[in-house]
Amino acid sequence: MATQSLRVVPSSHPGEGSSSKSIASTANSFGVHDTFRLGTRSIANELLPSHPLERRLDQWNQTQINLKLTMERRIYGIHAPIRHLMERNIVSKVQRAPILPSSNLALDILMGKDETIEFDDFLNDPELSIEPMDLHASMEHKLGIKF
Amino acid sequence: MTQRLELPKGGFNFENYQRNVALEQQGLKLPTPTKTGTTVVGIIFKDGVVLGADTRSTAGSIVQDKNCDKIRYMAPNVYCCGAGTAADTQFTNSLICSQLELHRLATGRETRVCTALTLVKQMLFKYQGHVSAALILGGYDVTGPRLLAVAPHGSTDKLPYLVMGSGSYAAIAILENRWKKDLERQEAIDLVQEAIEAGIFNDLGSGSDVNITIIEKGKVDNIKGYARPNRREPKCRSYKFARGSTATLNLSAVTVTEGDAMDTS
Amino acid sequence: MSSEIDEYNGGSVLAMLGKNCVAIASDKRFGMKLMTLGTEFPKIFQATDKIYIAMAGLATDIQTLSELIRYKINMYKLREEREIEPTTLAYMVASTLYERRFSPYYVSPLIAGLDKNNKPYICNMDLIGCVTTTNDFVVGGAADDCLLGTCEALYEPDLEPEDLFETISQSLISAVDRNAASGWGAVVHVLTPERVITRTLKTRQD
Repeated sequence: MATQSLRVVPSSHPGEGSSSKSIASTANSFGVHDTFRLGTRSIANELLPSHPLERRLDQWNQTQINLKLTMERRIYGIHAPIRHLMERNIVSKVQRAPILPSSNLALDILMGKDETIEFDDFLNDPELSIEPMDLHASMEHKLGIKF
Repeated sequence: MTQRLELPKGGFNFENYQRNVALEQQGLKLPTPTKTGTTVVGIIFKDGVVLGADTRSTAGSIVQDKNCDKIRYMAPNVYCCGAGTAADTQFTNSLICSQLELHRLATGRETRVCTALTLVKQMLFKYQGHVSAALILGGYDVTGPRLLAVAPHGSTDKLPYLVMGSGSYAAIAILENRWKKDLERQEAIDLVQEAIEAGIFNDLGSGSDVNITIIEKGKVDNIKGYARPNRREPKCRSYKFARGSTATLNLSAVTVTEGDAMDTS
Repeated sequence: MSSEIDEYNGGSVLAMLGKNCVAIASDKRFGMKLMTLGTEFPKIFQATDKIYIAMAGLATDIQTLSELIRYKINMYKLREEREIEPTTLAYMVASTLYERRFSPYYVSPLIAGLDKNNKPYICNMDLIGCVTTTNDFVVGGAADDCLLGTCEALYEPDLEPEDLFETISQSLISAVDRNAASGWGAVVHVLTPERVITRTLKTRQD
């Protein structure tokens, strides 16, 4: 079993976590980067050091969740985190297409987000995002189909 | 044209970071955000808490606002004074104020100052000091008068008298000299006024007027401009220009109508 | 106060508050460091009939932000079925700037407008969204230090629209004449409850 880490904050080592980028992640069925759908790509830009906070904030929520689940596992046994994850899984099943915002009140309640407000809730609201979106491409991406 | 394949997430956006770094390497310096410079002071007296602040905000060495309000509402019985980057203190204050309102609705109880403190410190620690807000929280809750301070990285202090900001050196000198336990209300107000004025006159980042807020059990007094040691004399003559002195090339006037068509160009 | 980024493309903006009216003005220069590339680049955008927003700073960010704000104002109107108020717009722009707290847009926006009761409102913001509301004048751009000087000297409260126009024009022209990165003409909008009067000023063309 993977080490049960009791990290309170995400690790600041750039080595941990995924800091490798490959062509394969955006490749189409020919094996090369899909410029038509996704625009030009520069792997150097994706690997260049980003703001020190960016990685920390990306991993923050997941780290807190992992801490809670690890503690539950240690105190109550393996069934406790399994039940929590199962409940979350069940309520996350009914959603709109991957690219459309869907409100999930049950998930918010389970995650405790119904009684608090964060910067994520009013800054950069996904519903007001101005990037072009393609429903079919996002479904294909989710299902791993490449054309 | 890049398409997105997943729902974008909310929160802060780091897209411009590499562009900004590249611009800086070309030699274009980043503009300085407005800082509040400032002197903010809080003391506990017999029946409550007195908070005081100056009213100057600076951008570099220019006075951005001669009369800004640094003592902000956090909860009906908790007020917060902010020093540091002004945008950060404004947004931190708004966010924590909203969180406290939700908390009050969920628990049905009056807010405690330490609740506000915990929310602020956990948020500031998460941002590792990049959100540069140094706050003093003062209020009167079930445990009595309470005064707490948070530094930008998330460390906190609980003390009977506190100062923050660039003028804190001047203000703390006054407080160390004259604060004593169980001051009367007017004595406490006078002490805070003197401490802020020490900051105003000796620190370049603080200036203009003294704002005071007194929080007692069940009531709050907000006095803007309690002391105005820096009033400007009214101008001796009017510098109005005669109408028509400015040369114009063309003029167009649009009458404002109700219910205009939406701009869909 | 104005950093080198402000002087990269140049440009200055100014807004003043009068008696039941507001005025907002900008120069028209667009340049790249020391070279002037365009002379028809006013930095004022109409948000609604009664609110104008001006932005100085890096030209690319000015254009990006003005389109983004136009989008948000239209979405507001669709959802709320009414026009946006100046204070609401100010905090909407501040939130938009704060979204990029750690990788900011290099702009200093100013907002000038009349609310639904025709009470005048002006404010300015720094590059990360700190709103400063005043009741005299607000400045931004490459010549902001000079503008603060001229406005502090020439401004007086409760000016009528015609007098406000003269004061704001003279303040802008005097300050911009002493700043190499701004100039090449000026545009002034005076907003009153009944009309919006737009004038183009005759200035030095250098």
